[in-house]
Amino acid sequence: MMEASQADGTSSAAPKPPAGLEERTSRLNKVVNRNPTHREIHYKTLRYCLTQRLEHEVEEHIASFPEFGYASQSPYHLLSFLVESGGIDVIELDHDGLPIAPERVSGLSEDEHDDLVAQYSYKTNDAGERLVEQMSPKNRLEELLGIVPDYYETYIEVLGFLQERHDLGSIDTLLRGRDVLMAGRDPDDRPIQPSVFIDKLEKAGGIYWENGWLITSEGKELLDTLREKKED
Amino acid sequence: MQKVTMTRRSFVKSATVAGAALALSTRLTGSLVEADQAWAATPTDRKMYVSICHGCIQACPCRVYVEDNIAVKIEGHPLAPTNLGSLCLKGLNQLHTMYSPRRVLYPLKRAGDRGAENAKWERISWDDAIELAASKIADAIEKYGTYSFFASVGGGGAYSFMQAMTIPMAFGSPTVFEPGCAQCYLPRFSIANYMYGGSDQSIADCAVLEPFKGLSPYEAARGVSQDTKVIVLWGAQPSVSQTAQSGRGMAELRAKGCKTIVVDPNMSPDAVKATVWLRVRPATDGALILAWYRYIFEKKLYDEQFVKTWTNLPFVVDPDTHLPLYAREVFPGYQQSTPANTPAYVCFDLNTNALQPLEYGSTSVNPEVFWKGEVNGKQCRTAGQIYKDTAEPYTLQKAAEICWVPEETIEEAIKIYAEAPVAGIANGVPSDMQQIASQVPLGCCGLDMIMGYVNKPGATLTQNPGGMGGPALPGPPPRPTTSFNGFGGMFNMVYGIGYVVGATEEENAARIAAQPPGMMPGGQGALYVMNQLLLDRLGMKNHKGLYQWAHSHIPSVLEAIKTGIPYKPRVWYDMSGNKLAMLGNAGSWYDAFKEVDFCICQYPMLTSFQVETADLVFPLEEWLEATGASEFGQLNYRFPSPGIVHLGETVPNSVPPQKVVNAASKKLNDALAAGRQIVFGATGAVTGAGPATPSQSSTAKDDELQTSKNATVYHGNDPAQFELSFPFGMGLMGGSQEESVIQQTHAASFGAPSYQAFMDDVGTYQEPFGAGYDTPNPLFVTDPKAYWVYGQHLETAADGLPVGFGTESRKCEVYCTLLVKMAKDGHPYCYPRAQEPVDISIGQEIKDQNPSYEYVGTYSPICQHIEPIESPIEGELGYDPEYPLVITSGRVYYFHHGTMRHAAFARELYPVPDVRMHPKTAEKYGLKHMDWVEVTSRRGTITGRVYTHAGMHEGVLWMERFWNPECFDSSQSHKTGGWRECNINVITKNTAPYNEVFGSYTNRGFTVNIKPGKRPEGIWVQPKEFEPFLPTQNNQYVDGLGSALKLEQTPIVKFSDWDPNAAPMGGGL
Amino acid sequence: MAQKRALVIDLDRCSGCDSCIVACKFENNVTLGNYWCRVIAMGPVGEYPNVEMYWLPVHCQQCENSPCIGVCPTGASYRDAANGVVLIDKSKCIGCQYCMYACPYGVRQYNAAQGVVEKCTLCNHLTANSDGIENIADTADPDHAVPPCVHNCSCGARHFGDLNDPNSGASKALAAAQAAGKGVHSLPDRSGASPSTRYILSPEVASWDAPWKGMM
Repeated sequence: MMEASQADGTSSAAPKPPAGLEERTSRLNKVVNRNPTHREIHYKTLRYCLTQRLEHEVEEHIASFPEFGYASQSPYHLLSFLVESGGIDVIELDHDGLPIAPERVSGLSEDEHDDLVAQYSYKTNDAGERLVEQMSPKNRLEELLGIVPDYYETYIEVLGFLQERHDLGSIDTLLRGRDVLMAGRDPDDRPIQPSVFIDKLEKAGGIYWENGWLITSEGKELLDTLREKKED
Repeated sequence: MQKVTMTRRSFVKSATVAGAALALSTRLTGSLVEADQAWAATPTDRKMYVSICHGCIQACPCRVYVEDNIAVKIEGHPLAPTNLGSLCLKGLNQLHTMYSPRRVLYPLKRAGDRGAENAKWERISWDDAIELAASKIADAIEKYGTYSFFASVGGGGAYSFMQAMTIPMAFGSPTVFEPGCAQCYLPRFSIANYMYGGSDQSIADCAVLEPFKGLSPYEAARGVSQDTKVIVLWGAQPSVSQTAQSGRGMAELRAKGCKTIVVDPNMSPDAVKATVWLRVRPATDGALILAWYRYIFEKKLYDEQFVKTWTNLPFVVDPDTHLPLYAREVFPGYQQSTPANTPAYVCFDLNTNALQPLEYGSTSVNPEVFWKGEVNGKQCRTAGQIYKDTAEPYTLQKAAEICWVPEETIEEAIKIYAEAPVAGIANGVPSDMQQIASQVPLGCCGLDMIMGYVNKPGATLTQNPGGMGGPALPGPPPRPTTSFNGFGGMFNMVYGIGYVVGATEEENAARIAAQPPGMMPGGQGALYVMNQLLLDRLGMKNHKGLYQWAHSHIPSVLEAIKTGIPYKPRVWYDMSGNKLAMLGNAGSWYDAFKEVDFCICQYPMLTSFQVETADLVFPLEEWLEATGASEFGQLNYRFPSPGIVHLGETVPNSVPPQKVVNAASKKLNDALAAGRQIVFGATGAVTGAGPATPSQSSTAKDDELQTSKNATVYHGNDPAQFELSFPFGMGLMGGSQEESVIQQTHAASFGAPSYQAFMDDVGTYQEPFGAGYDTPNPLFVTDPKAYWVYGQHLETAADGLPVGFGTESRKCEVYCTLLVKMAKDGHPYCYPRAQEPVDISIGQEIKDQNPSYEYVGTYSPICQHIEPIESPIEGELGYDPEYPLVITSGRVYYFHHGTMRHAAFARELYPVPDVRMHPKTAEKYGLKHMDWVEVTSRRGTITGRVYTHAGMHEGVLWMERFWNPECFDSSQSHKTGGWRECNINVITKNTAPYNEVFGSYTNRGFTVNIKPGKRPEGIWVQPKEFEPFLPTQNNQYVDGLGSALKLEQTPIVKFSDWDPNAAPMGGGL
Repeated sequence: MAQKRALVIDLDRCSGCDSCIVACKFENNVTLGNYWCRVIAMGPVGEYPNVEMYWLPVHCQQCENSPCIGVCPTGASYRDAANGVVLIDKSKCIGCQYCMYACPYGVRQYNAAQGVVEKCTLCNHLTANSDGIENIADTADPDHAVPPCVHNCSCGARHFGDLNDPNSGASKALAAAQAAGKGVHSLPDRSGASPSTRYILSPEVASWDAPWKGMM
């Protein structure tokens, strides 16, 4: 059962203290990144709820993600993780669709409280907003591209290749046997598997799987930017 | 048989007894029996079955008594030849394990977020569970390739070893691990195999059987003698670890006057009762062993005839290759008279005072064991001289200084061992958990070999026919060979992979060439892929010994999961209990769980590991439910292990892997048939319609492949043969579809016409002495004359020579040449395609730790002393005053590995782990007996309780592994996984330096600091606190929602009621 | 001749594994926190390499002059008329615990849930008529049954029977020990209770007295 974040009885008008934001963002970060099959779902849900949404809207939206096919929890559960870990606030709405202020419920029994609530809505709070910013695919991709310079060209090539849907086999055939798979490695080591590039690009939000690998819109934006830069 | 009143033994207590809960975790309405306080007048039928306790690795025969489908009593089987009726508290507590409220009785899917604090479970159907597991595996393989799958299993006594080892292969993945393996038994098992192709020195793993011969009065009455008069327990405590079996055996041996020498930092019961106890500093056994060698060499106590005839110590060694010289290398044109598979070497002949060829079986040459001189322009030594020189610095005084054992005590021990007509060393697990994991068994096996304590009555290095033996094959035995890949060389046999030692190069090459093309097991294509899977196995380049069991190097797997390089294992099928209690530096693993897409588990209960990270749990049977769970015998006896009772929807451990492999294979094969590509990590993209197009040239290092425009990734193999389908190769081994098949086979092996007959007539079909209880039934008991056999190496082989041993030289390789070759290219495992050599930095690491280190290069073929990298000695490389005390581990009687921490009758006796220390040590750190104490290593901090013991060295602590299942009990307001509080594996070390051959990390013999601590929150200590663990009707993992909605769920109480054919089945096998 | 049923325990063999404690708990449904048998670590005494210890299982000693019977106000503590075993009739016990004070060895336990005192019964419900030499075909055979602590002992250290019957398991074990010149001991007896239980301990294994000196 999700708990309203302002059930402590303090006035909703009081500004939240900025202290603790880092900690709350870090805690949320741990939950969002705790399960790779949920990561992008969590990120996109936090982003979606930057605008306040009704519960059914959020659930339907989650269910529409291609990643949802690989999740092992229901949309409701996935949303509840974000609430419990302090990234999304629950806002109870009355039968007029208006937020229910804490003063209205203080002193009421649980049943009476429940009677007031018509539906729940969700809004990403400051910690969630901060994490959305930190975790933007643009940020993640830029960071990824900078980690191993030897891989840079290959990442760009793969992103370009995946502007059209391809299965892993095609990507593997593209890359297998290439020198880049031995880049930076001890000459006596095995090469890396071509799938490494897929794993890293997916983790950075640059590609996603839907009956094959495809570039994300953020991946495309970055690719276009980098290509423009190159042409300059 | 007398009918006995049952109610005393009932698990039902009357309602007037405060705090007691009712009966069982199945809702067997109508079967619950109400108890009176006094004994009921009406007797109830009690049925007895024979079975085998699976409470620990040794598996003790027992009798189980059942009333109304409930197991109510277990006792040791009086006819078990080593147990003689004993059953320890681990076995007795199995009733509380079987009926624990912590049993998982139905497939469970995680219903909340990962993490113990959030853990919620949802009961799902078997169909859904198999479908979920299969789709997660198939999806990941389609998205990321076959290397994305990995498996793991538990340690000694784990049921699912074979399934876990082969399930990755079935999916074309090379990754499987087990927290034991390199840290438990693999080193000792393998080294003995390398050195003489025979059985090792482990008591726990039932390799050492000879000492327990003749203890049974029934066997003694048949003329079986008891021949072991001197035994060395080198880092073994059977009285604790295998309490009722080899523990009982040790008690019998001592009662018969057998002398015992115990090497152990801890005053174990076996040390208490030892003739001599060497209280060795943890991880310094190498120095102690070399002191034994030095003494034995110096005083000429070794069996000179055996050394000259049956060991390779007289061979002259090339100082550059570190390998013995062949006769043809020193005497060009020399034609040996022995077959090509039995090479001639070189020795210094005392008869002619000259170097001579040394042929196997020669009687004309008298080789000098210790010699050095010039050969072919190089200064050479015999292997014996190399060993002597290595041992030279280790005088009794030096060993005393390093090992913290008085000189006189060391000498007393050596003399008892070496002056006996026969003796034997039993080498226990501690060395496997240290950097010296290969060096110690090299030394211990080598000692028995130079003493000639091999294949003799009373020794520990003896060979017994496995199981029931069977009639010897007609004709003289062949020249012995040894295959190394997998247990008993099973992968050699199935895939052809690996070099068969004892056969010639030509014979090995011919065998490979004769394999037909194609992907079936035994085909060239399958061989290619298997070889590639070996090469791609993580961490193997440097630690090639792991190929013996086809396991991966655990720290390398962790690194790959964390970094995704060189590939990311991401869908996990674990077949064990508590990985977080057993893996070294458990916290480092916990931090990596967030990289794992999906974690499938199977176990009878939920432990920290499932609670923190499992996404799906299959419910397994306990041994009381599972037929054939233990196919173990005891010495020359066999005992049955029927499934006797049953709860819920639990299944044998062999069933979920089979169903998952079938279902996932079907999905993958369907994908291939639809024209979609799957990337087989070993070869690249494959389709079902035909092989992938050969790609451009590879620059990967490979002996066979040169950088070439025309070379393909298939290295000269015809790509047409890589038409793959799932499961690959032999698929899953040890899997089963149905328990009824297991039951029929098991019953038939005991002569029963049917499983029903097997269970109805226990006297005839389950008791080793049959219904008359007087004479042994030959289906159960092998004739001792066929079982206790000796001198196998002295028999005449088909080639007219003495049989010898399954090594290249056909002798006991006290100087283990196989290790030298292995380090270079993975011989004998990586054949026909060789592997890159071991990093020379590993040898350099060892040299840095030990500047006076004699042997240069890896892997060392003889014993060495390596000062532990976390040293307590000021001035040593790894010394840090922050961590002044050495800590080591060992078992306590109450538990086996990570099991039994839920057993209330065990926990009330041992609720938290003791940190054993000398009273003066406690005082020094401001501690008293039973105080809470914090123990801190470079990895973290845990808590235990001080247990002062004057037997401890003042610089040494001792603590067993532990975890606290109460921490996530439903009664806790704040739940944790219970693995951080008191678990020494939070502070053990999983970083380099590792043992060079096996990659063993360090669970014992690292350094710590201590200070007063406090009782961790959430753990239970007082006896009454453990009430929730007692059998009760309130099973914790029944679907909460179903209960809340009062859904009628009919529990399935007989496995045969569940139709396994209803589960999704795949194509493939 | 009156029977003198007791346990004979070979401390040369006993490894302190506590299996006897647990066997008893299962057989007699002993509640958590109560123990009818306890195993005490005696020592270590000395310093390595001259350090020794042994383990001592302690349970009702079946005293010949049981003080526990004398002090019982209700007759709940009694000696079985047929075989002389000291037992407690729980239906008569009022839980006054006088017997617990009287017992010199502290082997009686108060069962709070039932409000009565309890202790080792030598599993008389199994062994009342037994000679202590097990029938391997049927361990429940009343003529030959032994308590589960004896059957399951992981060191073969425990023996049961009538010490006044030279053919009982306990008598034979005792005779063998005496013939081998091993030390035979009983617990210190300052009150004249005359415990029947016998402990075998060879001086080469450990000195019986040494740990007591630290404790008394």
